[in-house]
Amino acid sequence: MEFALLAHCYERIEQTPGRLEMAAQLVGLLQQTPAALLPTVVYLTQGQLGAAHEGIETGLAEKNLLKAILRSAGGSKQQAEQLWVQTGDLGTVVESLLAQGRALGGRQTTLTPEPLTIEGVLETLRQMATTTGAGSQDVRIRLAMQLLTRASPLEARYLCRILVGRLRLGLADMTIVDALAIAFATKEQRDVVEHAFNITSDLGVVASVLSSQGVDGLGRLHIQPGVPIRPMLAERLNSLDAIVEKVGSDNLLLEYKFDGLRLQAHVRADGQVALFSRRLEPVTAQFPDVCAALQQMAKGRAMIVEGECVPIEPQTGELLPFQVVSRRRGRKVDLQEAIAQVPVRLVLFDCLADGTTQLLSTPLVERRATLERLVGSTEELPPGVGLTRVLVRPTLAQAQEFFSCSLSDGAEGIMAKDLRGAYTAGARGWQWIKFKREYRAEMVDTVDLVVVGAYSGKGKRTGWYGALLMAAVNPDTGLFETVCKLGTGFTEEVLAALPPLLGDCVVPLRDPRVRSSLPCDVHLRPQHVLEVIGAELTRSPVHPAGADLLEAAGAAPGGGLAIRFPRFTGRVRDDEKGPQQATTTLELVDMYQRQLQRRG
Amino acid sequence: MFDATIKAETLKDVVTVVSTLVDEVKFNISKKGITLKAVDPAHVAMVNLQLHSDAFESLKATECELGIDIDKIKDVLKLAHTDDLVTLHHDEERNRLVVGIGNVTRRMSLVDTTGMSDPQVPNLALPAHVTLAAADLNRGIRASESVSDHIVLVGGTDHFELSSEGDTDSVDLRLEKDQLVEIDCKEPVRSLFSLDYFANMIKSIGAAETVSIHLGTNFPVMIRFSIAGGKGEVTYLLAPRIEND
Repeated sequence: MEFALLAHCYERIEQTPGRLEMAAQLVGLLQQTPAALLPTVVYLTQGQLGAAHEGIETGLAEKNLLKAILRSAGGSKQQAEQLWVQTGDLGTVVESLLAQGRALGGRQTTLTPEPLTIEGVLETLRQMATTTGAGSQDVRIRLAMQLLTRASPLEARYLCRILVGRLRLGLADMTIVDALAIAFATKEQRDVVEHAFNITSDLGVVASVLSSQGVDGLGRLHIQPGVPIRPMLAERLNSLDAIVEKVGSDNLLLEYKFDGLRLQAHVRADGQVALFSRRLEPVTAQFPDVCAALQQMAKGRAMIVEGECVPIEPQTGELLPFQVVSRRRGRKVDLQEAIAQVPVRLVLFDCLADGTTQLLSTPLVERRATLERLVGSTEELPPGVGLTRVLVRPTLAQAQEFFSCSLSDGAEGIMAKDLRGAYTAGARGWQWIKFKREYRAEMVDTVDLVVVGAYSGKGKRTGWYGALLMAAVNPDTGLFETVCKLGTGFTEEVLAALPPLLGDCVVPLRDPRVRSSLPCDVHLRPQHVLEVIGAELTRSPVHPAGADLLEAAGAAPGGGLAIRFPRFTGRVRDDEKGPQQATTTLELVDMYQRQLQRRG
Repeated sequence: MFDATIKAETLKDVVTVVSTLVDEVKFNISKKGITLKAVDPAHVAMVNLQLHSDAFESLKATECELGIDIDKIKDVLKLAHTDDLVTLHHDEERNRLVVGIGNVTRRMSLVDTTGMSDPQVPNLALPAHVTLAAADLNRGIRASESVSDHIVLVGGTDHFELSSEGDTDSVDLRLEKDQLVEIDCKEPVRSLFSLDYFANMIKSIGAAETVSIHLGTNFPVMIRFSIAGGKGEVTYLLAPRIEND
C-alpha cells in the first residue's frame, strides 16, 4: 500500500475541524487498508510505531532530523531554522524546502527511486529504533534520508512528523475508536470497541480483530499478562461532606493517596514482572528492586496489581517527596546507585487479575479482599512492596480523622471509592474520587502548567531565571494560553537547574502555539510541565486562558483566567505529562465556576 | 568452509572501502574469492567489491555467506603491521570468524545475514567515460572542500572538470585531454554530488593509481578502481543532487 494514500488522508484530516468529519475521513482510509496492514496504519495514525506499551521509538533527535532534511532537500540552514522556530514543525520545514523548485545545492536523489510503501516506511522506522552503538545517530540520519529522498513534499511532511512522534492531526485516540466502529461495525457499537481498547491499550490489535472477526471477536479479547490495561481515573470533589453524600457511607472505602508514580505490575507465574507507567510505557528496567519485591511477594502466583510507587528514606522507611523517583528516569544515572540511594516501595491499591481470572467487572470490595489475600501478611512483605491503608464504611467524622492522619503520614490526601464499583479501565467516573490537601486552600487543586516563557532574574536571582510564564492547553485548538507568571516555590537548587533544563527549548520568537499578550525575556517552546498551586482563579485582562470558553458560557468579555499567588509545588511533571497532557483551559474554567459556586 | 591467509594491507583496503558506507556487510565467499555489495542506509551510495582468489596468499573455500561487523575487523587490524599476514577461519560449529595475526587470535561472533539482502544495482547507461590519475581527483576534492558541500563533475568532448561553488567563492580543476589517461565523451555531461559522500569514496582508493569515472547528466556516477595490486575491483555508485525539477 502506497504511503501517499496515507499522506493524502492525513492532509484531509488536518484540514477538517470536527471530530465527526475526521472520523469519516479515517473510515475511508481504514476500509481501503489491507487487513495485514491495519495495525500499522492505526499505529502510524497515533504517531507511534507500535502499541504504547511496546515502547518503540525512532530515537532520532529533532536536531538530527533537521540535518537529514537539509541533506535530502537542500536549502539554506538559516532559512530552515527560522521556519522551524515559526512553526515548531519540521514537517512544514521539509515540505516547504522540497516544494521550492530550486533549492540551494539541489535535492539529493536516491539509487532506489521506487514509491514509498507503508510497509517499507515501517520497516525503515523500526530499523532506526533498533540501531545501537557509537554511530547510531548517523545511521538514523541516513535512514531518515532514505525515506525523505524518495518522498513527495506532502509525504515528507508526515514522515517527519511520524519521525518525531507528533502527527499534529488533532486526532484523539477516541476518534480512532469512533472510526474503527464505523468502518468495521456500527456507530452504536463503539462502546464495545472502546472497551476492547481500554483492556488491551492497543488500537492496532483492536483494529485487526475487529476487521477480521467483528464485534464478537472483540468480545473474546481479554486482559493479558504483559499487556497493560488503561488505568481507571478519578473525579474530584472539594469536600468530604460532598463525598460521603455522593457515595454513601455504607458503600465508601477511603484509602491513603500517595504522591508517586502510578504503576501497573504484571507478575507471571514464573515470577517474571513487567511494569507500566500511567502512560502505559514499559518501565520495568528502571525498577528492578520493585520487580524483585513483587516476585518475592507473589510466590509463584500470577497477578496484575496496581499501586503508587513512592520513594522511601532507607534509614527510617519514611516517605520522601515524589521528585526523588524521577531520578530513576535519566539514562545516564547509574541505576544501582539510584536504587541504593533512593529505594522505592510500590504501595498496592488494586488487583485486576488473580491468576488467570480477570477482575475488572468484580466489585471493589471483592478486589480489595483478593488483593489483601495475595499480599499476605504485611509483616512478611519485602520493603519494596506495601499495601495502602484503608478505612471502610466510615462516618463523616471518621472520614475527617482519616484524612488528617493521611496528611500527617505523608500522603497527599485520600481516595474515596465506591465498594460496589467495577474497574472501569480508561474511564473517569464517580466510583473513584480524589480528595487532596490542596482542596482546603481556596484553589481547588494543583494544576499542571506548561512553561512557555521566562524572565531574567534580579537581585539574588541574577544569572538565573527570576520567573516563568506558564500556560494551560486549550483542548479544542491545542494552543497554549498563558495563565500566570510563576516566581515562588523555587529552591536555589531548582533555580540553578532551570536554565539547563529549559535551554533546549529556547526559541528566538514566540512559539506560534503560544497565546500570550505579555512580553517576556526568553521565549520557550512548550515542552516542560510544572505542578502549580495558587490561591484562587480570577478573571484577567492580561491572560487569555479560557477566554473563549468563558464567553461561550455567557460570561462578559473581559479576558481569560489568571491564577493568583501561584506557587511551584516542586514537582516537574515531565515524566508523566507532555505539554498536551497539561491542565486544560476547560478544567480551569470548570474550577473557576465551582469556586464561584462555593462562594455564592 | 572458509580458510584463508591474506596480507593485512589487502584486508585493510577492503575494510576502508566498505566502512565508508556501512557498519555491517555480507561477505559472499567462494573458491573464486570474496564479493560483496553494500548500500548505505540513505540509499545514496552503493559499492560492489570483488577480491579474486589470487589476492589471497592461500584460500580454501566452499560457497558461503558471512555477516561481518566491519568495526571488529578494523579493531583487530590495528594490531597488524603492513607486511603482516592475517589468517581467517570460519568456525562453523560456533558460527564465528577466527582471525589470527602473529600470535594474536581474535574470535568474533558473526552478524545474522538473514535480514541482509543484496541491494538491487540500478541499470545505468552512462554516456561519458574518463580515466584519470587518482592524485588529480584528490586534488580536485581538496580544492572543493574549502568552498562548498557539493561538487560538480563535468565531462566535455576534450576535457574533464571538477568544480564547486560556495556563497562567495568558487573553485575548479580542469584537466585537458592530454592530462587524462582516457576520455570518451561524445557530448557534454554534468552532474552535482554531495561532496561528503564523494570525498569518502575517493579516500578509499588507496594505492590505485588511476580511477575510471562513468558519468551522465543528472545521473548517478560510477567510479571504478582496482585494489590488491589489480587482483580486485571496486565499483561505487553515487546518486546525484538535482538542482531543479
